Amino acid sequence: MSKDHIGELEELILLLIVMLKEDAYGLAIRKALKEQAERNVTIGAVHGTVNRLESKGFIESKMGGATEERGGRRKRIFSITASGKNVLEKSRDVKVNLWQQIPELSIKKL
Amino acid sequence: MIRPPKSAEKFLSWLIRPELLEEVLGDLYEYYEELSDHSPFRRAIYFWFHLFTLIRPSLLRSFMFGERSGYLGMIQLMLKTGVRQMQRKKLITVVSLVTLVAGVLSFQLVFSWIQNEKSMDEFHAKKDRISVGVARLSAESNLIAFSISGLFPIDYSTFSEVEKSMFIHTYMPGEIKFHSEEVAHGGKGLIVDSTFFDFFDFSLQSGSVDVLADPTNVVITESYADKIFGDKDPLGSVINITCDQKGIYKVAGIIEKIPSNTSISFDFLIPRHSKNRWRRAPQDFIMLKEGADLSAVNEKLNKIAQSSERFPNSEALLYPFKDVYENKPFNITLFSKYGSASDLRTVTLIAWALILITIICYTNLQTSVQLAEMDRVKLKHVIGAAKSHLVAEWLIRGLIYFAIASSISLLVYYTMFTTVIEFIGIGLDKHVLVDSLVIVGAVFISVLLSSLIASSNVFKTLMDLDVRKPKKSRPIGQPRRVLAVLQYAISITLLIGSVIITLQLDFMLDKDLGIDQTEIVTTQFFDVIPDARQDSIKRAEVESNHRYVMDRLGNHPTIEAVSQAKEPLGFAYDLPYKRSSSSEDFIPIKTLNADPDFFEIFDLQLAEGRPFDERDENGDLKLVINESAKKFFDIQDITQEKLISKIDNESYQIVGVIEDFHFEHLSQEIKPLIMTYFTRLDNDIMVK
Repeated sequence: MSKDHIGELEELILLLIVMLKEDAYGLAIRKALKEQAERNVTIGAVHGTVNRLESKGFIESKMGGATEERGGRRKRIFSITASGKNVLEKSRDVKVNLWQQIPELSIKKL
Repeated sequence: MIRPPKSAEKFLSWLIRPELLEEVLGDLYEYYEELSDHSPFRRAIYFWFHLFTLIRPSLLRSFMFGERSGYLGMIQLMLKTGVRQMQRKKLITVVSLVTLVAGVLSFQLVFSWIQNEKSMDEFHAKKDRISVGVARLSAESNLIAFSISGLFPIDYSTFSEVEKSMFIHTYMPGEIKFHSEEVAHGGKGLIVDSTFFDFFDFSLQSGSVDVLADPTNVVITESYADKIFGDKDPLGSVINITCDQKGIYKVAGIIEKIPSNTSISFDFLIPRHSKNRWRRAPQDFIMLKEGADLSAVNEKLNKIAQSSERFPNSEALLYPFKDVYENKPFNITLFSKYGSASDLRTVTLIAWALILITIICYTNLQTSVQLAEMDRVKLKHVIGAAKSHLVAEWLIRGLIYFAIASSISLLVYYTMFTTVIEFIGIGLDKHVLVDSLVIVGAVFISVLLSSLIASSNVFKTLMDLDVRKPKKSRPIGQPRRVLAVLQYAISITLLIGSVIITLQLDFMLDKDLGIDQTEIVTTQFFDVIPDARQDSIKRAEVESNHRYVMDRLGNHPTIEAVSQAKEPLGFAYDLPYKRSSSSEDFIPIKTLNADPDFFEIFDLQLAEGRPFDERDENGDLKLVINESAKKFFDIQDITQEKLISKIDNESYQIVGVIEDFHFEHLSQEIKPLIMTYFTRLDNDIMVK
């Protein structure tokens, strides 16, 4: 798969990282996926995806603060990179373009 | 705050890339905290489920998924291919895993039971030197376990082979009460000599092994302490004991959870020397010196017994304690259970059948997958894949199944063990190392055998492709059809086999006798009734209460029958009888105590004569026999024949014959049975 293309889960997670800002870490992303997109995914799936996104260069990360409920462990806070923004915009443009090419009436007829 | 299991952290530390470990563990810990409103079981299941979802190539350590070169790279690719093939055929994958997990866990449970039976009483270090005093009062009678030193002039201290002797009086629940803070609790109590812990290695959680030397002390088991005292520390608590004796004691010792592989069970121990006399008959326990000859001791005991004027034909001997469980040479209440060599053999057979069925089922499923993929395998070979790589692909797939099935099996086993054991109703302890090894070993063998078969199939197919010589043409698809038919046949056979095994297990575990026991309620109504010589006023009072209770129960409109006889299972004992008209020797016959309503309660069918009724009284010299007994004694007319009991040398009139019914386990053949009219006032009351 080309490095410029992302899957649906990857796109959702990228959008949520943008949305969550300084609170974009593994478990928070999982919660947001459930609340915002009604997607119930496993912790493993979230970590697998963010790891993939990071290796593709769409996101970067830094270590955040530790909390007691995390057993004194720090969070890894993700943030989107310039290429991440590009790939999101490209994905959005493709979809918008496609939607615009479909007359509204033909959707309603389906 | 409750932390997730440490094992999870260790597991992930070993598996996950070190740079990801902190965030992954942090998320898991946080998630575990979020689940705090769930039950511990659900919490563990969710936690471990999410933990296992972290096992994915991109998160694993580099030693497993490093550079894609050499053997490691090849194995990585094979693992990926294997995982993808498993994902593609989800149904087969899930059914294969369920087959492995269910089969292996069933095998482990049965195996665990077998191990428990085989290790019965093994934890007593001196078990080989401990013996039980028993006697046979006549040549034809069975062994009876009791205090032979009380019946015969035996002084164990004069025997050079004997190191120690001990007496134990057993009081069953209902015969003794344990009072704490004015609340009376039932329980099985043993009245023991202070040397009890020299004989038996029950581990003490609190207190020392000489705790019973002090006559004011009492030792209780951990489970009994939990039941009686709850969270309170029982040590030092003052309690009362009432049975045929009364006494005040102090809890001075707690025994750790009694292991499941013990044939002796109890709730509390009381020093025997705390009272002068205990009414329940004692039992002799002897410990021989290291290397002492048991047969030499038995020879001496025999001489003493045979010199007895009252029982000249008797035989007294020491029966090895370690053989009591398996052989059940006698039946005494001190032993809470007995084993059976034939049951053990049958269950061992069942265990092997279970693992065999698992292997066949799993192999069957994997073969069907392989058939579907064989064209792909051939194609790969044609375009250059080496045979060894294609064969190894199946072995690696087996490895994936092994890893997943072992993990799930261990997780399910340790999460569900207690629940399942309580549900089945058998006593078994967990042995983490052995159990884990058996589970992992059983999965490994199942997967290995199947993978070897699969690999050999691949190898053979590829060899056929390579052979240059002309081959006999055979219709395409025939082997598949044959295999499909075989698979169906095997599946049906396995299905029938599973049903038979389930029925067999039910049959072995279920001690139902096959006689009507619906709507029967048994309750203990009266405590131990004092002897009239000890307390005549109390005795008269209890007798009056007994009459009142039996009268009220008998006249209650919803009650059909009331009996104080014992329920049949396990209560028949041998007594020597013979026909009055016969000159033959006495023969031990199974005997049950009954009363008039006993027959109605169990809906026993009359074949001839009558059951006990209002014309008879407790203790009358009358009998009801079963059809087998009538046949055994060759009695033509019951009105013309009497049976003589060797115990009292009295002639008993036969008033009726009942149709044969199972009064022992269903696996036992129905034996001749004699029922005498004899019940005690303090027996449990059965109501229908």
